[in-house]
Amino acid sequence: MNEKFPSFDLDPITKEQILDYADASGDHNKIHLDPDFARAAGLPNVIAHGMLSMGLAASALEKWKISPNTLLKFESKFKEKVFPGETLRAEFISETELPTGHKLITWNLLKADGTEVLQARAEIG
Amino acid sequence: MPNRFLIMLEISIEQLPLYSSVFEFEINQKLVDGFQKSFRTSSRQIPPTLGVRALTCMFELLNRLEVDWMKLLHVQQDFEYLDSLHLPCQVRSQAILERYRKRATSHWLNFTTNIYEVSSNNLLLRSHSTILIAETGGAE
Repeated sequence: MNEKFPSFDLDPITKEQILDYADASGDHNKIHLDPDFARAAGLPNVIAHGMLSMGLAASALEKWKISPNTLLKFESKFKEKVFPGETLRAEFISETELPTGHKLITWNLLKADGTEVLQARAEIG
Repeated sequence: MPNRFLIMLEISIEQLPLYSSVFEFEINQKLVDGFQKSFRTSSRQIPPTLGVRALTCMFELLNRLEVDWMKLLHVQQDFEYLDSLHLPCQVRSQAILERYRKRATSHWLNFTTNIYEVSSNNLLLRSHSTILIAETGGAE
């Protein structure tokens, strides 16, 4: 366990949460909201927006007491779909210093079985 | 029967960069609270991913290209924070399809979306999105 950047669990993703995110983001794609539509697309259920997962990954910054005023860049590589009921965990990977003097913090968002949902990177000035 | 989506995309390559319409909206505390509610936090800070609201422009371009949303994967996303944002703030955004390449049965599209403060014309935020459209398979 990294003391500076401790891992933490997020609450299970819910359909209501996905709906709330659709309203906030303006992305009402049926693949996120309509189970019948999702099943017709070959999925077992609706999927959470990738950007919802990215937003949840960003909660690590506040948890790790990184001031939003120091954030220069935030990046996410999406690896896996997330379904309602799944629980995600944020796990720190590394902190490196860039030639510019900025810091690059990398962490993963994982499912309970260890599947990588996304890899997040933040450049801090 | 030819795949209409592919035809549209091939035509658009010659037209790159391709610009979306300009989208104007207000960033205010209500919008911030809506995002934070969906993240299930009590924070009132502006979330780093709030710029997703401006990706409406990118979606407009994807619709114009008649992309099949069932085959679309959002592979990578970043936001660059270029200036301070003070609430409430009227902003305008525009997406640009800058690069397209085809590899085997996959189509890769690279978008940049810029978000400007209307009153100052300052560039506040720049977003880069990588979208993959597979001729087979489902998506995000």
